[in-house]
Amino acid sequence: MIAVVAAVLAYLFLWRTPTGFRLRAVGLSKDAARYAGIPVKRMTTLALTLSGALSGLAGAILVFGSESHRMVTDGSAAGLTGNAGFNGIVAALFGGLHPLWTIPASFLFGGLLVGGNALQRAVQVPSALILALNGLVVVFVVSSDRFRRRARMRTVAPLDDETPALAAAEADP
Amino acid sequence: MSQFFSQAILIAAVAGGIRLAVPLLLAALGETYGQRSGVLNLGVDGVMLLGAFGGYFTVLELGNVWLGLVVGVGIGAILGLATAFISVTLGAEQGISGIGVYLFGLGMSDLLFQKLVGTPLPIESFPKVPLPGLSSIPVVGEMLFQHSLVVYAAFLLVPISTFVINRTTFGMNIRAVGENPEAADSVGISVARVRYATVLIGGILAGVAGAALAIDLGIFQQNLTNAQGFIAVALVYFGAWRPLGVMGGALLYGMVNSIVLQLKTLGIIPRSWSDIAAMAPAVITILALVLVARRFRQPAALAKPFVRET
Repeated sequence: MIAVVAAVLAYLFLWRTPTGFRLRAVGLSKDAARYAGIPVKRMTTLALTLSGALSGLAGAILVFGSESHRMVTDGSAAGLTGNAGFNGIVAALFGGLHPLWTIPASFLFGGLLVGGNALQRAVQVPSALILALNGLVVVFVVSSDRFRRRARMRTVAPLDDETPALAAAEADP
Repeated sequence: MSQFFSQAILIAAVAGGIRLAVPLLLAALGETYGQRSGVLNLGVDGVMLLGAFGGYFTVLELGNVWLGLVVGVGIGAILGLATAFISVTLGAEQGISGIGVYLFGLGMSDLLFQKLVGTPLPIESFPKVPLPGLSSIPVVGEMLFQHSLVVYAAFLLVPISTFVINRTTFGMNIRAVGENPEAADSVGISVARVRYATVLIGGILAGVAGAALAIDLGIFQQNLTNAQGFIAVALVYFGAWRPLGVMGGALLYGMVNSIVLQLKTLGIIPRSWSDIAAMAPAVITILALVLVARRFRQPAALAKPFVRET
């Protein structure tokens, strides 16, 4: 529940506040943002701080959600978090880096992980397979991103004095 | 504490540090080529893991450690080509695609291990080759000159790489492509071909690094590298994108690891501190990075896919 609320808050912050807009601008084009007077370093620091805070929140939820309210590790390298950090990156990508889409994406990946563990118990397919598949998903999503971005830019007819960065910023939903 | 400063322990610590540094050194040198040409490859750890399993499995089945290294080269080459295709031809976001390769390598190596081997069986390691004459030097001889051929070769790669990058045409092309691909392109250098070459080199060295790690340890297990591949990437930054600097970083990391190991075996570091001690190499690397980062500039075109503007 907290996670869904956090996702909605993230969306509101990034798309409906001036600071959020500046943050997104820096991500889309560092040079254009600097030219517009946006403090790039401050925005980057803010972005990383926020993401760090959310990661910490995720860790806390992980512990509070466990039966014993303790940090449970199975001794493997993934141990405590079960690779949740890396899976988070994948879920974010799958959601097109948009906070609201990360909600269904995360449910999808949560399901994949639980299914993977169930597969392991039922038919002896190691959950490592899911990890490998996750990796492939990341690679494919990221590889295709280039084509999708080019296609999107072509559908936005630029005005005479519009710069490509501005067109990209306006096309970003 | 005084036990630590006995001759035998010190020799073991330094020799161990050199040995532990080798996989890092190999992987980091490979990454240096790639980054110098503008490609950031975060999948190094994944390639290392797959190379490690390949090497381990080969030695397990065929009994020849050198064949294991060859397999490492092969696996690294295939993955290097794939990485190059994704980063150069497809122009994907390099940091993220690297993580994808890492996850794939982590999962695949574990999957293959569980399916093909099951329980960890020990394999033989590299034979030590004492250098004639040099190894008889007291103390220093034992520290530096009684290692396997892999160790010597890895450290030989450092001056070789320095020479290649700074004094060959290929090296000049690498540097040009990494600083200003548009200018290099306008002079007729094929940016794509140079980057394919460097990423391929990076992949091969990462594969060898993984195989060397597994064979040196004589075992394989899930996540054998324990994120050392990422440390290798950090070492490239630490070494200011120069092979000599990278070697310094790898040795620093290896030595800290080795010293911590010795202190643990001697009991100077109690069990309860064991986990904190395990942090030491990573913390030192971060500190070193912070100190170095301010003074050296990265290749200007690092992690930016090159598209010829028409």
